[in-house]
Amino acid sequence: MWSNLRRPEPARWSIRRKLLLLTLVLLGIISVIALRAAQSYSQRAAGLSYDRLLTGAALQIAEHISLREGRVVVDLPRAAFETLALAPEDRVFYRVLGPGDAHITGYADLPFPADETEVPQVAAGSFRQYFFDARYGGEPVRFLVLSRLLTETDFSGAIRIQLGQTTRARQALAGEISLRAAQLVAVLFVITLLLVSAGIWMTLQPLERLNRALAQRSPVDLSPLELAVPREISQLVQTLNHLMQQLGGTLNRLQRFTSEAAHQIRTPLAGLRSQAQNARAEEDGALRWRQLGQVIESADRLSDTVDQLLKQAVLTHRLRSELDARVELDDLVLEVCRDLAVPALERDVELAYDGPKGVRLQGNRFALQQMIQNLVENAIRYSEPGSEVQVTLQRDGSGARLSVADRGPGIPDAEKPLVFERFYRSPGNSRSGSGLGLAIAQEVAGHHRASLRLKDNVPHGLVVEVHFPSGRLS
Amino acid sequence: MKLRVLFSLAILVSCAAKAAELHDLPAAGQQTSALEVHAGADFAAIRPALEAFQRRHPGVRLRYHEFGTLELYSDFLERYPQTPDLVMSSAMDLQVKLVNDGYAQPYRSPETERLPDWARWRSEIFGITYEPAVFVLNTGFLDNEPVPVTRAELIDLIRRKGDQVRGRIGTFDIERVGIGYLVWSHDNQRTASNGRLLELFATQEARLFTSSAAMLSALVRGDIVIAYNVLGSYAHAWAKRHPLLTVVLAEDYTTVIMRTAFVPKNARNPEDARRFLDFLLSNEGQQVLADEASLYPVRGDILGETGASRLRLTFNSPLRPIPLGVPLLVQTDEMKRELILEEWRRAFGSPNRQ
Repeated sequence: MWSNLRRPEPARWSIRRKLLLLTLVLLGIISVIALRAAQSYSQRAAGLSYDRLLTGAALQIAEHISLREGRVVVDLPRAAFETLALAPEDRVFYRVLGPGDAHITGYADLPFPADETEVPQVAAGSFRQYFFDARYGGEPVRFLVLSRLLTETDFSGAIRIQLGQTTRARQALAGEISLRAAQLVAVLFVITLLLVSAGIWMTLQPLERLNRALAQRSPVDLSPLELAVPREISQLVQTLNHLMQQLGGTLNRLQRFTSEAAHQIRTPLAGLRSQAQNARAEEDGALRWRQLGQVIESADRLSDTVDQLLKQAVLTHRLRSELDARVELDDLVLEVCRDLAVPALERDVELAYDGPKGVRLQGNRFALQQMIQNLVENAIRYSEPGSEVQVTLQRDGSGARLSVADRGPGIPDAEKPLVFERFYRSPGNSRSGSGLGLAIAQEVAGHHRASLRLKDNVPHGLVVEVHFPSGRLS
Repeated sequence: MKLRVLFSLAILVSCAAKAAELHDLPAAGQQTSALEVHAGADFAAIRPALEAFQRRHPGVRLRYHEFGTLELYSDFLERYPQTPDLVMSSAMDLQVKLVNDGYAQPYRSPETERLPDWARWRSEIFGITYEPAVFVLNTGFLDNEPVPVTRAELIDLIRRKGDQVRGRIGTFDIERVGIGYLVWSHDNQRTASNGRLLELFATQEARLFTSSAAMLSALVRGDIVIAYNVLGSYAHAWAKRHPLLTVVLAEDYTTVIMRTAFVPKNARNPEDARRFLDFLLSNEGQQVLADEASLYPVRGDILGETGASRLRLTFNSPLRPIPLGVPLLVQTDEMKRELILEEWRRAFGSPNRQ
């Protein structure tokens, strides 16, 4: 628990921290590799230079080997040892062997490699040489064995010079090269870290600016942000602006809706009041009866309007908050028709349904039910008594089509685009209704990517068609 | 060849067999430890330094064994793994050979770090005193001729005097004197004039000596008139007492050898050996060497009658110290030594040994 508080999960780590950590790990790995490489290189370089000293000295000694009266004479040159003294702290061991490895001069007990044939030999001119490492006199020693063929008229045989030097100087040189490399790596490490830190700071700076710009904004200011930011962040700014635009639109719509709703409720209320007043003042009983009937009718219509308003609010909320699920569309249509069959009959309107089984789609069941109910109720409401409302569900190549046809007055073509607006009411329409039914239906259709179209029925009447694209079907 | 090697070995063995001279200096106060020093230096010359050390460290008993330089070397190898606590000798080549063969242990102290590079090697062997190889003339025979100050002038003088100097030139017997061999073989590699000198010595029937003292006393007596490659410290001491003797540090070059010391790996009392080494290298020790012991201190900043800086000021001679290091191994090579001695013997035929 405590550690959770102290150390948030990696997804919440700051970008700065993550980048720095990554850089450190990478730099660390690179540094280790570089140091390893420098170490092996320095060993090789130092080894090579001091091996050359050994070769040079051995060649100088070889130059001073001669034959006098048939015996091998080694006149050790001081220069050879001065060459070796370039490694000032190192001890030197040498010996010269004649034909058959007979000891001529020097240290008699120097070691030879266990298997001479295993050691790679290098031949140059009349010399052959190889190097090996061994311990001698309590210290590690690098040995060179150089063979030279000595031929005279009365003598022929191989002379071998073995020359060894302790390894202090080469270790010191290797150490120094390594140290220099390590210093260089350390400097590069620090410089890279500084550059990367500066880079991270510069990269995160626009985010900081964006944050400040948002923080300083007033809560009602939904105008788009005008901020010069890099391309990567400009997308974020665009998204934010888009969001604010949507939010602004929603707020606007809400405002319009509220004032419209207030208007729609206030006007009938005022009418209701004057009708009631009239009824109270009416002396004639039969007239008053009729006026009271009008009051009830107005109250019904008002209650219908409020009902629809609430329904739409609930619907909008549910559409926004609920996930789409699979809906059996045919069952749903059938269920709505069944529920409305009795109220229809009361108005002497017959309700007919025709459709296949198993039409399913992804959607919001509640919203679809509201839409179908609105459409069928509308159709019943505008039907002539004794006529029929036909509800049809069809599958076609591009999806599913639901049509509700009535034999009412229909809607003139000029008014067809207008009826989808909230609270719109046809001028010649005297039936009760909120003017919200088609608006709700369209909102639901829009949510399901369905198209809603109005057609004329023959000889008269209205056909409302909802076409669900096949993408929504399942 | 085989016979000759055996011959020189026989000399080494016979020298080793000769008993070393022991000078036992009891501790000044209560004895707490004993320090075994094997040295190739004249006890008389170094005695003031030993006593000064004992004044400083009264608990130390000093057992000072005096050897010839060749004996010192062979004795060391013979007794190994038993070793003294400090080995001191002016035969630099043999000392370096012992160090190269791993017999010494390293030691670092502020005193050793102050030595110039050529006066130490591997922090295992250190130069303590400075010995120019000089020539000394008995001016009695010069007849007011100018004193020769270079080897070329010396060669000229010998040629001019001819019979007057025949049999009256003295130098070390390099077969038997380690430092004689060291200086001669070193000069042999560095200069060509050595060959001419050797030729001249042979034709003038030069006499070969085994010590500086013997050579200088012969010079004082007038048995010889020129002593070549004498150790400078002895020469100056004798010249002070005998005004007829003139010491010459040649203007062409003067080879300088060092008396060197190292602490053997198996030393039983290395602490006192290091203390003694530090004392000899300290201002105080070097000053004692300069003032009381008739030896030249190695450190350049010591002013005294025999200080190295005094030598440089008094004589217009480039001093060429033989540096400590592996090049000295060349002189210890058995075959190289045989070649040099062979040349020497060939020149002298049957040398007139003293």
